[in-house]
Amino acid sequence: MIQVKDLIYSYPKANTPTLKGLNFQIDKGEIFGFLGPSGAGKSTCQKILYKILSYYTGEIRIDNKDLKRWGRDYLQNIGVGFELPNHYGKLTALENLQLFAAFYPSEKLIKPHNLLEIVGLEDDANKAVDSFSKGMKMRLNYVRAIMHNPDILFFDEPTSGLDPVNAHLIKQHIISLKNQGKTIFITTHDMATADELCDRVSFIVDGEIIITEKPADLKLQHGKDLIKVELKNGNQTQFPIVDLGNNIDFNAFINEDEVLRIHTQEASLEEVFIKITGKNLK
Amino acid sequence: MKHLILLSITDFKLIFRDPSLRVFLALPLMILALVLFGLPALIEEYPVVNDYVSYVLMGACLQTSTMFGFIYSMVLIHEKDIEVAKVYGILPVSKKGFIATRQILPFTLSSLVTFLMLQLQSFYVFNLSQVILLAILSGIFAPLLTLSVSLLSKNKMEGMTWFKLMNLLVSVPLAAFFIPCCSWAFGIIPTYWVFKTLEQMTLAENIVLPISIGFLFSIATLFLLIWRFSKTHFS
Repeated sequence: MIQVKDLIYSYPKANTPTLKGLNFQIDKGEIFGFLGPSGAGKSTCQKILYKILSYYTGEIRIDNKDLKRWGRDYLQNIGVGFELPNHYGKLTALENLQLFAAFYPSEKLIKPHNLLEIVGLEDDANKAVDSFSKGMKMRLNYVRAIMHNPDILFFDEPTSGLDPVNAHLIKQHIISLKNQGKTIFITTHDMATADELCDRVSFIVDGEIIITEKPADLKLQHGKDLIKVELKNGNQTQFPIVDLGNNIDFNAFINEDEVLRIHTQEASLEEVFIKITGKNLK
Repeated sequence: MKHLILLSITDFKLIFRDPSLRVFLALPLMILALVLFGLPALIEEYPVVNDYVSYVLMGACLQTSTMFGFIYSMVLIHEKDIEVAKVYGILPVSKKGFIATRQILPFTLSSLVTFLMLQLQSFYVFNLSQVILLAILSGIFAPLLTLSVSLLSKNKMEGMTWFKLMNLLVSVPLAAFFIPCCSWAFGIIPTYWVFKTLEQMTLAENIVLPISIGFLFSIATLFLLIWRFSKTHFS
């Protein structure tokens, strides 16, 4: 479990803090997402949590122990999927994995070939990473993050650069990790990914959390209680959801022609974000 | 230990798979061959060169270390450039220990080639323990150069520029031996103490003072660079 209280962080020589008092909690077995535009402080927060940045103020507790008191055993138990691919291009995929695997206790390691199979890179194990596409490198990023079977995982834009098939593959695997009880913290500005993966999301803008909620609840709260009906003849109209079965106009409309589709008018996560924060996600 | 051995092997693989760095790996051996075989032949042809053998040895010792320093600085700059350094930042190892142990190979290689050069050259007969000490002191300049060049550079191009400047700077104290009146003024540059120690050895004089100052100066600089490097390289 990760508990963050009043987290403030300023980069050296910066005039204003990048993080301005963040408060959130991520439970074991939960996928939690930070959504926000570039420069909002998402990655900075993750860097503090995986101990690349220090000298913050506030309190961070990991499994009820202060982050500052955790040593190397903490780093053994976390996995980080970076936003951009970062591998030795002159080494093969297998050599890259073997190199970093050597730093973790062998009893927890997953075999490199099994990892590569998870992301469909088993036939490319002995190819130099320089010859990989960005998507292949990102998949290699992903398996490097999970190769030592960590309990806490940080993913920065986990589906960035992936085609829809491989993005789906990675998302399904992240969900399977959640089902194994892993604590997962994702930062993204891809609303679809957040919507699909996250149990709860925080909207973060200019270093401040604006709201933390379940994506489904956010969409319901900020959507319209309407359905939109479209008929085969091209006619379309909206009706209130309340007491829909007794709505004479609705019944008359759907008897007019064959119904092509019916949609609820809940807001998309992106619309909710813009509505709440007044900012765009780009 | 296993990971450090694998890391050393990986560093070697990266150097061998990069054609430009592979060439640089051969340079210290070429310097060794020049001192062992080329210099005696040159003296035979031009006896006047004999008066400058000690300075040639000084330069050769240092160039051996700077070559290994250059090669490993390129490896570190490249891993910073491609952001692999960030991955090392989240590994369960001590950052300072990781940096220090990663310098063992360039230091050992530099010390070994310098030792062979001083021990096998045919111009002076040196005391073995003095040769070992000077080879170690000279070898420290490989990590010093590796760390300082990679600290100052954002990419390989900058690295090459900084290397040229540093190489010039570490060679400057050689001038001290041509202006004896103020030679000690060059003591602010750590390599002066390598040159001074070697000069004392060629004159069969006591080396305790220059080599002690040399070790203190270079080890203190090394610790400072490791500390600074651990703050910047991984983020």
